Amino acid sequence: MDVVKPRYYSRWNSLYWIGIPLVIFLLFGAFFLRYKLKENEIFQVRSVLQSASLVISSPIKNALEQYIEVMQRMSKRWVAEGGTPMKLWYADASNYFNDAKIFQSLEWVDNQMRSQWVVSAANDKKARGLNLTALPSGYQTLELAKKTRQPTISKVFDLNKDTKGFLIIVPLFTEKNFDGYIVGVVNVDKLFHVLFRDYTGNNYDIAVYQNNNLVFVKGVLSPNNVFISEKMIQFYNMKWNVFVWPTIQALKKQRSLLPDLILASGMTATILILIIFYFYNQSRVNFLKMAETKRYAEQTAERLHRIMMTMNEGFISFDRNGTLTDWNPYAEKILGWTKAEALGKNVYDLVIPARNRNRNRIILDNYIKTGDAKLLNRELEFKAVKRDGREFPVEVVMIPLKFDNVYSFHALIRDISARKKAELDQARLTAIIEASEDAIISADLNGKIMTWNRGAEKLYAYKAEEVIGQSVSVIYPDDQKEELDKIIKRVISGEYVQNFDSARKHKDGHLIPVSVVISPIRGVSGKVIGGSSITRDITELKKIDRMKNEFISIVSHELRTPLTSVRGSLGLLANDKICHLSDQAKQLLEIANNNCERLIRLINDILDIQKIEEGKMVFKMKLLDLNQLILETVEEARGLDAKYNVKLEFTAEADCLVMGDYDRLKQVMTNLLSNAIRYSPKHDVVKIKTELLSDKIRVSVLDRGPGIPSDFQSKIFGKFAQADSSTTRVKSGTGLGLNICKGIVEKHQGSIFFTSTPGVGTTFYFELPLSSVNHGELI
Amino acid sequence: MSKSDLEKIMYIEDEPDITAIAKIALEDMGGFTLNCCSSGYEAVRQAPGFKPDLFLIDVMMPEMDGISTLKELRKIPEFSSTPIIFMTAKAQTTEIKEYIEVGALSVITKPFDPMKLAETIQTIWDSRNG
Repeated sequence: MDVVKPRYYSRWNSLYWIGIPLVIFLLFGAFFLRYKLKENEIFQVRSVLQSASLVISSPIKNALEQYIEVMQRMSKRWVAEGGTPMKLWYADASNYFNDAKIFQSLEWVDNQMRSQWVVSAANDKKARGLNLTALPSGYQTLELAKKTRQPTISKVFDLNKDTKGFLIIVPLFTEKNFDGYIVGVVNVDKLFHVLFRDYTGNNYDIAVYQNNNLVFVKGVLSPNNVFISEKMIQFYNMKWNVFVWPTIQALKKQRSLLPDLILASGMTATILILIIFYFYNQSRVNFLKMAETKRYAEQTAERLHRIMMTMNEGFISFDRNGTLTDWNPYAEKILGWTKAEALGKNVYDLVIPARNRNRNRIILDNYIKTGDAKLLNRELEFKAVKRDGREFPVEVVMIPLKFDNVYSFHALIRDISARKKAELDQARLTAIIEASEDAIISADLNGKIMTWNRGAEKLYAYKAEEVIGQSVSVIYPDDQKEELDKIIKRVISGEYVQNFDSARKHKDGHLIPVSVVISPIRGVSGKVIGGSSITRDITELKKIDRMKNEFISIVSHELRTPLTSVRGSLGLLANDKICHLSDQAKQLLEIANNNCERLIRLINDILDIQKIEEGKMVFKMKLLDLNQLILETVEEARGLDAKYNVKLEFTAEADCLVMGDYDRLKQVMTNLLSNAIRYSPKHDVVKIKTELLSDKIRVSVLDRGPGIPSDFQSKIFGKFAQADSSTTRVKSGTGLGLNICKGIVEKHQGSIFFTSTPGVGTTFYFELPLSSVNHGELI
Repeated sequence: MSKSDLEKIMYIEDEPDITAIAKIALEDMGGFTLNCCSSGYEAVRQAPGFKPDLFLIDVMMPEMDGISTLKELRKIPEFSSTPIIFMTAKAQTTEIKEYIEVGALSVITKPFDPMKLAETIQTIWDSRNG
């Protein structure tokens, strides 16, 4: 069955045109929003970082200024007192040292750059007596302070292995002298510990560089950190760069979840839309599929319904109990019950002969019980009963169906009466052919033998299995292969080959004289597909024929020889030149002569009939004027009419040219005339007439004789036909004349018939086809 | 053959009755000179002496039939073209055709009308070249 591919499989629908841009828009929007929010967040972080770096960097400068100010105060005291007494200096320095908490040591260095007085952490022995000039850039810084007379700050150096430090140097200038320097050795760690204790907390990390030398670092600077703020602090000769960045924890705190949330929402929405779209489309496809399936099912149902209503096969349905539920018009036709009558009835009761009901029921019950469908879904032959009680053969296909556990049965019923009859006829025909003594064979157009009956087996001694499929030429004598070719050609052209005599070859090689009829075999389309031949062995017939011919020849000779003498003698006797007889003797002689003539006619008629029947009578056909022929016959009959005292009257109504044999037609005419004369009452008239019909000439010979008795009329053209013996004797006919006339006229493609009323008279007619020459002239 | 009058006829017939009738019909009625032979052998023997103008031969004869007689006569040079008429009761179309083919001039069927026999033969004789 065709499966129509539903439309929805290959079709884009509007959903795609809405769904895809929507999904793209949502995804794009989500990414864009996230990007914008991130940008904003970075901006925020950077702003905070800016202020934070200010907050972080400015105290460094302030603090250092503050510490320098303290050291300047010590310097001012030194100047004011003209050199602070040692005890006092230590007291001050110790106070400062302890207050500031940033110094590693606080020292007075003399103008020879020697550390003289030192305050340091009590346990820090190393700091005491630090040789400042030995420090990297120590000397230059001291020189610079002396030179500028300003507080000066040194480069950073390693205080010890772990600690960096730098020097704050305040030069001591009195009015007259240069007294050296107040030097604070600042411990960087301490410094920043003090500075950033409050500000940085855990939120920011910092790094401080002095001319690319790391002074201090807290935390780790990731190389790809984008949030970093740089501030420069400068005072006196010092220049520090302070880098501030948020710690990872701080960044985490600062980072908003919103952008990611937005992105996640966008993607979620997209996925949701896709899911919705998928399910929507799925349901739409399902719906279309269902609609399509439904329509297809409806169409299929409609188609099946129409087929069922119009098919030339009965269709009935019934349930497991046999209750009929459907019954199509053809079932009405073959079974005789209308649908309305049949529905609700039991199928077994309605259409199955009583004696078979159980058998049929068992088939279905067995199927329901065991599922055995051996006898279902295939053609079975049954007897069915028509409404009027007649039984007829049917071919039934039973189709069981089971839906939702409910069984139904459907039967296709075909009336096979005609086929059965045809099969029977065929069987009879086959039996007839098989029983025939004649050889009946058929062959295809290539001359291959297709069938070969028992008669053929007997005639030719070949068994059917030996020759079927072989060429028919096996039974043709070698010198008659041409005949076979001709026959095949004629058969192909659809010609029926009339009975003809031929010879065929026996299996042992001897020739068999046969009479053959060949007819074409036509296929269903009417086209010739082969030929059949009926062949009769005429060996015996030939023998008989030969014997008959010999017999007739001998008989005619043996009869004629004495007749020749009798007739000759009688003829000569009647001649006055030879002898003189009394009147009585002459009368007797005439009787003898007449009967002699009659005997000769009889023998001649018998020979003529034999010739006509064997088709051996030769006709010399030529164009004749029938009127002339009749006139001559009438003239020749003058003796006879005078003898019977009958008058002949000939009316020629038309020119009558026919193709015919002069002698034979004259024989017909003579016969009819002599009959008419002999049966006419004395002094009566025999009327002869020729008349032209549309395409033939009719000759009529009318007499007013006794007529032909009605019970004899049907036999008049038979052999030895005479109404009764008394008449025979009187009229002295042979009873063969009309039979010969019929034969001759029919050989001229004409017809002979008569009308007769007993007591009134008889008219014989014969009609001959008009010669085309004559016809042409008349037109 | 030059056209001349028919005078001498040799009649070959095994039936004495018919011979007698023919003799009357041809000699007495027709005025011909007739030599009657009862068999072909006799005819072959007597013909050279009789020198007939025409042979009239019955077909059905014992031992030597009409056709054999014709063939024997034709072997005699002086009768190689002498007209021969067959008389026969076996006068079916095929037979007549056969007789003409072996060289007969014509065929007269038995039984014949003795009164017309001479006239018939004369007619055949007269028309043999025409």
